[in-house]
Amino acid sequence: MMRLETGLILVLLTCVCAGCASRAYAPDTASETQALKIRVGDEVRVVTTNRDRMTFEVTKILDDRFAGVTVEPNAKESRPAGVDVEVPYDSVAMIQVTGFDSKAATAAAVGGLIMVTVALGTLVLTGVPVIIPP
Amino acid sequence: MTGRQLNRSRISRSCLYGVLILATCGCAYRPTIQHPKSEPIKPEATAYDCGQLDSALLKTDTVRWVIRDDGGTLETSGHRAARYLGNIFLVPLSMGLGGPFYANDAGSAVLDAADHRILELLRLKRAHGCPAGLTSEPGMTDLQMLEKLEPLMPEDGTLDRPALDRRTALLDHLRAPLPPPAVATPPGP
Repeated sequence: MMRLETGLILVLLTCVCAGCASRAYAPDTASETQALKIRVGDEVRVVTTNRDRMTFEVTKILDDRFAGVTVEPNAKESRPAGVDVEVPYDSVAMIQVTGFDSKAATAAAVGGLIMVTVALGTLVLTGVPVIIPP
Repeated sequence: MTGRQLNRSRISRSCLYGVLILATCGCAYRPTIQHPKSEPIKPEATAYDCGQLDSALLKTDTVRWVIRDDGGTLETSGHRAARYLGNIFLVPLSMGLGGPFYANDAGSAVLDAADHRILELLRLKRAHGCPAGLTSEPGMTDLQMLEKLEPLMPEDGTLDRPALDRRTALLDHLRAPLPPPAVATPPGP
């Protein structure tokens, strides 16, 4: 029984951690890029249709483009840190959020902690695992 | 050292070499950004006009270029089977060497998905009667390239290395030569 509970806890934690991991998107249209809900303060890695690679922190979300400031360049990126960039939504071929806005990240962490606590509490008290809806 | 010890030593050395050889498979593939697996064409894409199809092609070609630029290659079904088999031995053997190590697919799955998406978009372009676009392949338009690609990309069946190489070489030249960078520019004062 104890092993089962430990296993369930591990599965639960894995699911919570997987939810936090960032993934890359290849939006087909500008509206799909906008639908990703990128926020000011997020750090994004982008490849444009012009084969331009860059990582920047978003400083403005405009109607048709992101504005931001480049951060320390990753492999194959040519822009140094601290350069202002503007990237039209329709030129985004690939986008990956590599760092979340600190407020959103804190809220997500607190939310995750509450969910884990509730789930573990229920598991310990009742022995029945709680399935957290997606 | 006794004969048995000598044999054991040889076997472990062979295992180690095997592990190292398998572990180097796919070493050239180093994603600099997570490579999304290109999705098959959505039903709404069949209603795209020529401009939207060209835009979708440009984006998928960019995804494909990133995968290739990061070292992605297509693997034959034989190579895939050998990799699966090798990993069965490699993973447990490498556990004692700081592993687990395993041979990855060198981006084959994501590259294959991007290739097929491009094929489908080109087919839609042809079906809609869109004007052919330029490619970097001398004397070949994208719709002419489609005709060369179709026999190289059957729906089912295994492909040999030369066919995969030919397909890769063609798709590497799908896009016309790039204009100078102008998309992401520093904002004006």
